[in-house]
Amino acid sequence: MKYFLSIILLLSSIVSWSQFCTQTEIKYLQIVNQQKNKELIEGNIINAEHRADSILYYGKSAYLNSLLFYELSRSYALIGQYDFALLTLYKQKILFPNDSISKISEQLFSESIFRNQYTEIELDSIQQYIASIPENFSYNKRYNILLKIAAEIRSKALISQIYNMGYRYELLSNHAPIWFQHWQFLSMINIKEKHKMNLVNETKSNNKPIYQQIKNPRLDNKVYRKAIKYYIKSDALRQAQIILNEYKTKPRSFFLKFDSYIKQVRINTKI
Amino acid sequence: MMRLFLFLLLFCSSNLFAQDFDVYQKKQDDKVKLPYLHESVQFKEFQVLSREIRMMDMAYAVIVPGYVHFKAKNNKIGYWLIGIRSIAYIGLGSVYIEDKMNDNTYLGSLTGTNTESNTIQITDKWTIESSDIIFTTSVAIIIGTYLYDWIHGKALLERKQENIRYKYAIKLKLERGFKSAPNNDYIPSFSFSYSF
Repeated sequence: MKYFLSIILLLSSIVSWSQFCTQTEIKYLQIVNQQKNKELIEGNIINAEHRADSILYYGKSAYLNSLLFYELSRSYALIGQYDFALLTLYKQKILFPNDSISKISEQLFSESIFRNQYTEIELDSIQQYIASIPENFSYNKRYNILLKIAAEIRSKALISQIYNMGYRYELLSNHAPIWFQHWQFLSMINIKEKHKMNLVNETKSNNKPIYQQIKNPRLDNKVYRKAIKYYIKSDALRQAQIILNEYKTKPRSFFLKFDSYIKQVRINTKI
Repeated sequence: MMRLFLFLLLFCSSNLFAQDFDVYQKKQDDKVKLPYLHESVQFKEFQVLSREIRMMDMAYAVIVPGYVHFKAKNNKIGYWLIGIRSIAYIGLGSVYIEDKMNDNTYLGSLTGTNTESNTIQITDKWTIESSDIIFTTSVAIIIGTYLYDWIHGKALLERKQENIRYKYAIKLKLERGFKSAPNNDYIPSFSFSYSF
């Protein structure tokens, strides 16, 4: 009897301290959003994101999941982070579509769109595009659409989130799309957001490095120089030398030739 | 008598638990006692909850500008206080160097025999030396930054602790209410409770 009771107590203790459930997070988000207390909202964002991440990974479509993303986007909007609010709403609309949630989030969605420098015409086209996603699309296909549309927000603050989303997509589907690999490379070498997706959209879906496919000569030089600088800084000197040798074959101004010379000296001194 | 006195002194000293120049004695060793935390509590939140502003911290804050704000994990204000107090120290230093260059002494300042620096006429009968202005402003800034650091830093830490306690108190209460939630990650198990 003594051993039986101790086993029961041990088993009951296992369940007590796991993560907070979705309903708890939703209810707490509703409480703090209603109070509009920025300190409470900022303190809770990381917990709610952690919960939202786990839902994203497991991908079960349910009303509660949609509601969590809506309340989380409201929290972001209340602390003025409209880029995160828009990304969260995209996650809800594309991965966990729900008509009633979409209706109540319409105003927040429009406001987030405008605050991220989109126009009304672009808002209409985005809404039509999302509405045209077939209902029988698999979770992986929807995730791919979400990844593309999230990268188009062009916010530096979202880079780490989109990186994580891409990582999860690789786990789901065993490979990241070619365009996303190009996006990752451009983010790694710190290309500005306003150029990034333009460069990615210009390139073809092949395995050639993106710096070999850029048509604009000014941006082409920029990407080469930033890539070489990044590899020198990371002590990947052989890769830096390969790209530098390729870059030297291109027509360059006197200043750019001098810059290449300096980079060569840096590589030589580091080896 | 002397031996008795020494014996009592040694005996009483072994029972003293003072760890700090605190008013309140602590009769337990905090380093051994392990806290029981929910897994959602982040390390930063745990650090904020574990911290208190005690008399020793007030003493440290005299020497290290912004110490209390750094302890309350608000580094931005801490660095601002370092910058402002450094300017005040530079002011004090400049007054000291000027006095040294003019061979002024403390006794001379009391007896009025020191060389005067640039004077500013406030009224017909009232003049102030510029070095006095710099000196008093610097001292005021040092005292002001210390008081701000201590009072505002303490209030900030307490507010952060309240926010964390509020969050987890509500969430734990809600969690007990949502036992049959469909989306949680609980491992199925058996629970037994008995109330008298």
